[in-house]
This record gives sequence, structure tokens and C-alpha cells, in this order.
Amino acid sequence: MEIWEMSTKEILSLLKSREITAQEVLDSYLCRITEVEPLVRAYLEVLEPEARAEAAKVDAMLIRGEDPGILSGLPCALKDNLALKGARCTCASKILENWVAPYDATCVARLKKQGAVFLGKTNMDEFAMGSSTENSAFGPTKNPWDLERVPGGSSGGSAAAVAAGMAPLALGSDTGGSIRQPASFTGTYGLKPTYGLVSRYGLVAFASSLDQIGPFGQSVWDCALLLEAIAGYDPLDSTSSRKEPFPYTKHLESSLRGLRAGVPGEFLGFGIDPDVREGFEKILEILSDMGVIVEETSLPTLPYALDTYYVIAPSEASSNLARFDGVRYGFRASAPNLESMYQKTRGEGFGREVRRRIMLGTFALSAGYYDAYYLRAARIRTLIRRDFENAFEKFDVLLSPTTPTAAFKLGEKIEDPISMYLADVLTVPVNLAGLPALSMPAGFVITGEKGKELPWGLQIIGKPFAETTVLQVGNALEQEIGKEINDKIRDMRRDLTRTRECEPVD
Amino acid sequence: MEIDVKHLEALAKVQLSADEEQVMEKDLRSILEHVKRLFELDVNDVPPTFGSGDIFGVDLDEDIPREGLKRDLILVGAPSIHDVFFKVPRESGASRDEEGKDRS
Repeated sequence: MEIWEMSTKEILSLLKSREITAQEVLDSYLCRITEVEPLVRAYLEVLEPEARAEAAKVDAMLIRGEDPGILSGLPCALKDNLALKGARCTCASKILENWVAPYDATCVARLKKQGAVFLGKTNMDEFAMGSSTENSAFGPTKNPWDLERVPGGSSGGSAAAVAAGMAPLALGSDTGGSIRQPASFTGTYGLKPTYGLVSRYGLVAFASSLDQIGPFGQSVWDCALLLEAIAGYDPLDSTSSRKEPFPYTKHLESSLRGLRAGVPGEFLGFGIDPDVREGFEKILEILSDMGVIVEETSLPTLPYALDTYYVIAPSEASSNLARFDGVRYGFRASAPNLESMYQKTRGEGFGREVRRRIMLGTFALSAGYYDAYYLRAARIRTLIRRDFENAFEKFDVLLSPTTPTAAFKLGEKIEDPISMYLADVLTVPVNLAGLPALSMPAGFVITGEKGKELPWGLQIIGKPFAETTVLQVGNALEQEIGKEINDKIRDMRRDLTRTRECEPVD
Repeated sequence: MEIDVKHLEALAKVQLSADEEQVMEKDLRSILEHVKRLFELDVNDVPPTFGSGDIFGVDLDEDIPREGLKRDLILVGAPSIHDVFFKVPRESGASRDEEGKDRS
């Protein structure tokens, strides 16, 4: 078995016992990247020389008997909206095409401190605006399960890299589902932490009241490990929570007997694919058999969440992205005077979806429309938060599918913004309420004329800062159903290797 | 509903071509049509949730001045600089000297 085929836990154990070196682990992943990256296009940049230096540093520490940290030489991929000092940070946008980050994001600095080795920067929807990674200025990422389908977005590169075996771990960001939806589409595990648990310093802002950085992995344990490394108070983010850091990996095992899980009926009214619905019902039965008390519940304002999100997020984006004006960063269009330089730079530098959201947000914040749109949406956000608060008086977790369907085809929704936005219908309420939620692979549906099996994800939503409960539920369920899923992931990865061997790629 | 795309372009400082303006108007119209559902709810007595201060347990920290990034590191990412300044095109056709005043 190649190193990249092992579980993260196995690799870490072999690293700590010095049966393998960090450089061997890195070599294995770099080799895998060479093998399948031309098919998947998950990375915008692979940072081989820097990664080799980091791996050598970890190996030297291990030889000296020093503790390199809890990640101890594990490779990790970073979404390209996270600042890694000395590396380009493009947000998959032409406007930042050649911008090099002059500092480390706090989460990046913390991963470094724990011995992570950065494989590279992953593809994304431009400025994290999208649900398919097709909005990247540098071309789309493909879903490793079916190369004609999207990996989801906006963190599609990170999700696809982990799914294809091109990284054991990755970081993404989640503003309306941008970790959970691609995790669902690629059969990976992805966690959106509670707002404030992970510092946003060094994350290029999209919608500051909604953005959170979070982990992707191949198991619940992987997400717990990465969260452990990056969570905790940071004076550089004024919204950072003062909650004490927590060893999530040491508290994963727990009986679910007596745990109360609510299933909001409104979630199931959002055009869920019948096969996903059937699979979801089966998962509820499995959880019941494990001793979980599963009951239907109601959050009456959930049907308004998507519309609320698509007023609030673009409004915040229109403000946050005002800084990209051709003066301080990256691209500048040539123009005779300052005003036309601003307008041309932003018109040419931003892609279509980013321009659309800036204009929508500008509209919602403009004189005469602010009360009707932005203020109204902010008030409805309060109602949505209250609905969750009420539900959590009775339940420990809330459950739903992560997405209404499995991965859709490349190009299928790109011309229709509303249909693309609907891909986030089950994930945006969680961001509006600032809650933690995990997406984990929970089954497969057969889709398309080729009869390919595609994964779908289960969303486990927790109370504020109850990441431990969310991860415990995920972990217990993974013990029950994980074997079948891991077998299929192994088959998918082998198919990917064979595709590479058989088909010439450009 | 009136959507004045040219006015929005000026506010957002984003220049679109004539074709792009047409598509933008169509897209904004369909999105605003969709979010019209928000008007179904009576929320006049509901306080708004704007940001972190309104979200449980996450209060804004004091804004304490601290040392930031070194100037050289910041300037290196700019498309055009002069000495320690960001350099930009003139504000309009007329120069500062012609008008005899500082328009900064």
C-alpha cells in the first residue's frame, strides 16, 4: 500500500514511531499529485520546494527527539484565500493573480507550529463566491468521482484534493456551505466550526459575519485533529472567541444512547432528490438503532434563509471587496484618470459572479433600498437564530442531508444564478446562526447515463461551540457505515489512476 | 422595479460593457424577484442581527493599536509605487497645479 492510500491516523502513527519520514510521506503525495492532478485540477499551485524544506525540518526534529507538534509532518493543502507567507494568494481571481501574501494567516501559523507541511494552494470559486468551483478565473476543478461533474464549491479544490488522495488534510472556508457542500459532493468530511472558534486573520474576507475557516479530512478524526490545531483565541481577529482550546481527538468516543436528534421538516421540503431522501431515512434508522432519539421538528423561518443569505452575504461582500481597487494589490487596468482606473480595474479584474454579487450588495445597501432589503434580511436573520435556539432547547443535534442532490454536471447551473444558489439551501441557515456543522459521507446515489455512484453527505448541526458533540455523533456513525464508504473511495481512487493511464490528457 | 445598472456601476466602481449591463440587469431582476419572499414576514419589531456582537458569546475585542506589517512588505504587492507612496493616475484631466489646490 502506498503512503497516500493510508489513513491520516496510520501515517501519523508511522511518522511518530519513525518508521517513515515526513519526506517519504511528502514524496508519496507529490507522486500522487503528478499522477492525477492533470485530471482533477484541484491545485492552483503546488509548493514543492517549500514543502520539501518543511518536511526536512520535521524529520530533523524527530531525529533529535523533539516534538514537532500534533501534525508531525502531515501534509496539508490550503484553500487559496488563506495567506501563506511568501506564496501567491489569488482567491482564484485575476485581480489578485500575482499577489504574494506578506504574512501567515493565524490558522496557517498554528498549523506550522504543529508540524504541518503545506502541499499547495487549492482552487476555489473566485473570492469564495460559488457552489461549483467553476467561478475560478483559472479553470474549474473536476469531481474525482466523475470528471464530468463539479466538486462543489467554493472550497472545491480542497475537497477534490482530499477525495483524490492528493492531500490527507486540507483547509477551506465556509460562508454559506463552502466546506460542507463540496465535502458532500466529494465523499469527504468537512467541518464548519462555530463562528469565532477559528481566527479569520489572514482569510481574505467575503462576508465577515458569516465566514469561518474549517478542516477537510478522510474521517471525523481528521477533522478533529485539524480543528484542534487551528482553534482558539487570537487577538488579531476582533471577533475571535475566548473559549479555551480543546483536545477534540481525545473526546471522540461516546455512546449516542439517549442523545436527542431533531430533523427539521422544512429541510426536507427543499426539493431533495428521492434517492438522497431514502438514504437519509436509512441513516435515521441506523442512528435510532444506536440509541439516538430521533424526532421531527420545525424551524418555521428556514424557508427564508436562502433569500436572507443572498441579501446579507453580497452586502458584506460589496463592502469587503471595495479594497480591490488597483491601488494596493495586484492587477491594475490602464486608464487616464483615477476614477476610470478604479472602474476598469474592477470591471476587468473581477469575474462575472463576483461582479454580480458586488452589484447586488451595492443595490441592497443603497439609499432607498437599505431598509427594505439589508435591514429586513438582518431582522429575519434574528428569527432564524431564534428558531435554532428554540430547537436546541429540545435537541442536542439537528440532522439533514448536506445538499439536496449529489454532484451536478459541469456547466449545468453556471448560466442560472438562482439554480446555483439553491445548491446551498441546506447549508446557509447554519452560517446565518453561526453554528457548527459537519458534513460526512453517508451513502451513494446512482446518477446519470453512465450509472456512476456519487456520494451524498449528512449534515450534523450542533449548538454553539458544541463541536465535540457534533464530532462524536459523526464518529459513532462513521464506525457503523464507514467501511462501505472507504471501500468505495478506494475503488474511485483506483479508477482515477486507471483513467490517467488510459486517457491522454491535455 | 427600477434597477438602474449604470447608477450601481458608479456606486460600486465596476465598469461593464453594454452586453454585460443587459445580462446584469436580467440577473439582478431574477434574484430580487426570488428574494421578494422576504416581504412576506412582518419583522418591524424584530431587532436585526448584523454581526459577531449579535452572535452568541462572540463580542468584539477592544480595538487596541498594535504594530502592523512593515511598510516595505505592503508596498511590494502594489501595482505602482513612488518612494513610500502608492502611485495612482491623476484624479482628472486637470492637474493639481492648474487648479492651485490640493484635492487629496
